[in-house]
Amino acid sequence: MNPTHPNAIKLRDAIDAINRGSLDVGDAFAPDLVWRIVGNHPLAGDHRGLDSWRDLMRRRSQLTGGTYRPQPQAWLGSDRYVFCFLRLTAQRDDGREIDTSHVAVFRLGEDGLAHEFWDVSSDQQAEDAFWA
Amino acid sequence: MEQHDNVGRMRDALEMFNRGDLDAYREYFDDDVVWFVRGTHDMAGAYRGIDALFDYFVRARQVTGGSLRVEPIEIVAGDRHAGVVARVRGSRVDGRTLDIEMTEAFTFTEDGFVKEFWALATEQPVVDAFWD
Repeated sequence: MNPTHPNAIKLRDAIDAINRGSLDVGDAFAPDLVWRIVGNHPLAGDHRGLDSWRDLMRRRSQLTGGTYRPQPQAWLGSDRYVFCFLRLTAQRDDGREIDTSHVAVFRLGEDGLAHEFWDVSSDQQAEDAFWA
Repeated sequence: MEQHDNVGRMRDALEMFNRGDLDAYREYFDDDVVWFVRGTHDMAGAYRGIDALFDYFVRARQVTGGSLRVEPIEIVAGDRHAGVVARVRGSRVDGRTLDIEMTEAFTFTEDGFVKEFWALATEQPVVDAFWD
């Protein structure tokens, strides 16, 4: 389903660019962005600021050797929130695999930029085992 | 901009839940619904099928004396998905209280019934302590 709300379109375009390997998201993400990864594994925690976010993206990509594939199913937006429903598949070098449903949520500020992100997996134990 | 019909539908469903009208709430669910409850507490796990799910809702209402409320802060929806950010409040008969923000993900069947649910609280330890 194609997004209709302008905020959903903006963040979809930013995430598309990230998935193509870009780490330049200055017109969609606020400098003080907090990117929250929940769970009990090495990538989990609150990653604050764009430098920390870029480090996280690089580590994620290293751990999955380019197999990290979020497949968006719907982008839904409002003035303050954007939700992306997606299926995630990825593999680790040692053969571990993941295939889970997620909702990724962005909270926007009055400046229209994303200030906060969090990701909700339908199967947290699978995430923890995969990223451990 | 125009809201998707499922925004109103989600709002109505939550109103039925908050009123304690579980018969009316049940009308929104598919028979084969899967409902994931995150955490380490007594009620955490996956509820599969509408009967198991509503046994869980009845139990949750019993231990909270019907005080549990899900107050939507934002609802976004499309044909097959809805995202809700909500303030969830309640109290246990023994005096424990809950007041948290939750992010909830719903997917719908082709005919619009709730098929899958998963969620994340801002403070999972608070949720675990409340339901234990």
